Amino acid sequence: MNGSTPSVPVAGKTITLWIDGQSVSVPESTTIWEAARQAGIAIPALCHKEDLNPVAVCRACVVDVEDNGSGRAEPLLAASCSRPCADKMRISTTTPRCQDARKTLIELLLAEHPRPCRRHAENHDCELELLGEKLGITQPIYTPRAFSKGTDFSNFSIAIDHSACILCDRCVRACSDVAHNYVIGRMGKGSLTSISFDDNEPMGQSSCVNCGWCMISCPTGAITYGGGAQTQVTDDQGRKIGTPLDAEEIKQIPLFKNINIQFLRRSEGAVVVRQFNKGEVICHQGEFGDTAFYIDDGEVDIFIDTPMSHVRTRGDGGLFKRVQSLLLGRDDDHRRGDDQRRFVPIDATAGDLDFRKPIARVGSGELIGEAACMNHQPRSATVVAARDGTIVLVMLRNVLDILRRQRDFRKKMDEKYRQRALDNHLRSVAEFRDLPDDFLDYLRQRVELVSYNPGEMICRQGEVADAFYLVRMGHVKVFQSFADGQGMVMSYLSRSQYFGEIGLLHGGLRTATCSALDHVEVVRIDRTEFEEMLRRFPQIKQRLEQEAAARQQANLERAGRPGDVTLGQFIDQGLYQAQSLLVLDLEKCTRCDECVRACAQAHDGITRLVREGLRYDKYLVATSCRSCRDPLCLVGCPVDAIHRKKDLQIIIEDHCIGCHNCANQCPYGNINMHPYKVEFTSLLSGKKEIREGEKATVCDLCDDQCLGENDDPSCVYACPHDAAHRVDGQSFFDLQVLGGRATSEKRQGS
Amino acid sequence: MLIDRRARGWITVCVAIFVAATALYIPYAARRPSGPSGASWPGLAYAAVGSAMMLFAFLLSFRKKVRTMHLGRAYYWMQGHVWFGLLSYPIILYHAGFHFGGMLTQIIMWLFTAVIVSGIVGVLVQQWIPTRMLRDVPAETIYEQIDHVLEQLRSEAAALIEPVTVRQPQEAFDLEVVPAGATAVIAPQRAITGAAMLAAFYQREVRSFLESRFARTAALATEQSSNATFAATRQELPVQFHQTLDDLQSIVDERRQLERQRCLHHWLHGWLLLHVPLSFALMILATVHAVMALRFASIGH
Repeated sequence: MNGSTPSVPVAGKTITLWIDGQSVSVPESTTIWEAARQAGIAIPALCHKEDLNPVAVCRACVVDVEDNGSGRAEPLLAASCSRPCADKMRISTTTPRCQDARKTLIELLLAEHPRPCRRHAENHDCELELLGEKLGITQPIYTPRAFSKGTDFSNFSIAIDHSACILCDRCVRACSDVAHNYVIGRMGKGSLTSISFDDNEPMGQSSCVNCGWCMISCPTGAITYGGGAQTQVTDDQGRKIGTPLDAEEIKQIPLFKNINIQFLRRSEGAVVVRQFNKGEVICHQGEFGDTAFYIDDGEVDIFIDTPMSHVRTRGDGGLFKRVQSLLLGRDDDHRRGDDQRRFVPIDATAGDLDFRKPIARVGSGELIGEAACMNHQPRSATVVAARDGTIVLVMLRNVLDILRRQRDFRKKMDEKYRQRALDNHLRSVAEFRDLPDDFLDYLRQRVELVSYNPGEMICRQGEVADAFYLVRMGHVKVFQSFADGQGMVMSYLSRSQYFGEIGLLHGGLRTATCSALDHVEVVRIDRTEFEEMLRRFPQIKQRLEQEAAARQQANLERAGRPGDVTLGQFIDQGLYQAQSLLVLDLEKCTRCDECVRACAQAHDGITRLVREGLRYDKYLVATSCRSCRDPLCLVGCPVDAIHRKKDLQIIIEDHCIGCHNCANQCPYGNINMHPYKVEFTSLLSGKKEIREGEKATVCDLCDDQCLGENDDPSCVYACPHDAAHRVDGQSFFDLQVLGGRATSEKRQGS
Repeated sequence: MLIDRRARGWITVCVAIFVAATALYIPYAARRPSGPSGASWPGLAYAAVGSAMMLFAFLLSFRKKVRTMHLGRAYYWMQGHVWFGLLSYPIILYHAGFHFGGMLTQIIMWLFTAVIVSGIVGVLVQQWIPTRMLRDVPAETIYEQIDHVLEQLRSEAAALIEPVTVRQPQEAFDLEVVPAGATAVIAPQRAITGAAMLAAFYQREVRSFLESRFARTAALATEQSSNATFAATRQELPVQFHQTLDDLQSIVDERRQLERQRCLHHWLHGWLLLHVPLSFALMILATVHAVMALRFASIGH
């Protein structure tokens, strides 16, 4: 199955089966338990939970397979949580055989279970004891355990009662598969088996990070809230805000009604209700925050509060005129690096903003700031209350994470996305701009919306290509392995970028491994729908093929460039990463600064290089974009304004909001923020105001104007002493370490 | 511009032109009864060629203003500037018949000589000084940033001295470090004296040295005298202050390097203060001369 939600079946062939006489149609590979749930039939389970991979250890979910689809009844009961459906299958969940088996199992478990356990005593919701009550088990007939398995109160907020543990494995899977902390395991044998933390350490001394996933997942009172956790929601400036709600108050809010009360107790203070009046700012673009906002009642305006233009500095008013900064949009000053996009991606379920007028109004039921909260990205837009009395639920990351895993919430958000944002999102891809409304309607319910946890693989190189992906949230790393065992990061993709088309168009196999760098959500278009789209719209097919060919060519060129050089200081200083170093021969350089002036002249008066940096023998490695093989600067842009083009150049587009993220991400200080102060028409008030802000600038290898026979950037072209060269890390290594003649400057693209 | 193997082509072409020009000049000068003249056809030809070379050399300054235009690499323009500029001098001499002529032409020729000589000086310093700077100034920074770096060095030095000078006598006693093997008990007063000595040394020598300008006769002005001064001070200071003294010495060394950089930078670029304005003056006057000569002189005689 794809994605991190294991019980969500893959779209594909639909089959029909009968459960308790009721006909159910589900996608192939749906489990019986899930199919029953969709039909409204509740099959009890203790070890199975919605967001965990099924392991079928408790056997409480056993069902009778009266017909396995081939006309045969099966002699053994099947564990419905893990058994996939088959076409024409007949299942019964209430045969005497099933019920007896279930009752015996529960009775055996209850015999060794402290009654009531801590959870049942506090909240009356121990799943085992509730199941026992439902089955009419008042006193188990089996002999209880003669000894206690002990308790562990070493953790300040989580209490462990090993005697109440039924070894369902939920906590182990939650800790490993969901939270990726890998702390909880098992130890011992037979009746002495219990869960353990790290190498059987007390929980408080283990590497447990107190995320609480084990506690949320535990069906009994084995892992419960022990008190002591303190949470406080703060605004993006770190100030405490609002009046925190306690667990019972949070539980009253319909949005949170399905969340485990223990988790809410542990997270008291993690949800705050705030009321805003018209015009009050909820969050500012570019700021870092650790909260998400759910519009409970009212309306808000979301807009990008930065001119959609680039800075040009002129001193052309004469000899004594001061240098003047202007803002020029792409209509006034087209740059080759601009991708002429129509929409700007933002961090809201409401959809992307129109480039020409980046403002939208959203109302109740919308979620804003999901990516900022989950992935620690800067806010992508400014949000202001549009009406008096707008009620906003402000929540911390742990609450949002749990909420996102609630099926009902997920379904609601996904439906909003399909209705409100999917069209713009698809059309924001240049190749899909002509998709007509009727085909979008056709696609609307056929696409899958899939989530991935950080580090999770989306598709592997060499696998059969079965889908096309469009990124909704987060960042995807595209990594290609080569025959010699080396590999290279080809790209980082963020919202509104796509992948998977090369495999579908050419040969059917994936050409790279794509994995989630942070919390990623994608729109997955199955191969069938994708091929249908290409069949109906040949012009889209043509564009995709052109783009796929360009990507493959660019990948080949990048791969063809010399590989890693693993040597001492080259590694320490990251030079092995570089594909385009600006190197100055200090024996030829007269320090005339012509390179710097040329760079400024080529880039609106703002130089992108500093003639200072590391020194190796007679060479100076100037501070200028290195076109790293692993471009970390691309990660985290909240509005997808920074890209790498096929000739290695990094481009920052006009809708940069000046959040500093790329500048902070660059380990070598090669991205700088340029301040500007210009007159700007406010999108909200319509009035002209003086706006001060910053835009990120970076060396783009003179994307607009490659010069000379080698397509040299301006810094190299303008050097009168032949001292400036653009070389890759390998050539520089050859020069420095091997003492060989410097290779001539590489062509930057052809 | 470093003259290396890539200049061979240029040198070859220029030498060839020079040889050809000389080969033509000798019989021309020998055959004319009144000697070579600028107004004669050969003289005018030399003038045209020489002026074209001068103009090309002069245009380098404009080429540098339009750095990103597709006009050829600046390096080739620089090569042309140097070699054609050098070659233009004998060509113009051939035009003038080795006579400096009247007032205007005398001024022009002396200007021209000054421009050529300053240019040669410039080329020579560019062969030598960048390498010197590389070797002598490992702590080289951008020239315009020298004052800023100096300010940082001053702050750094002050930050080093401050904890030493505010140390209390009792604390000084507690922190007294006796070298391994030493038997004498060091009196607490020595620590206080040491702090005062270091502070006095800093005030007297280091602080003034870190200013924007320092006296050439300062004790820290040269590497040799600086090392001697620090060594002498180190001998008198208690051991616990040696690290601070070493750090101060590093700062002083860097300061000296920056001064060396400033000096070398002036040598590397100072000749331009003469070369550029003189060449502008030369071109203006040469243009005047050309206009006047073509308008009023007897062409072909």
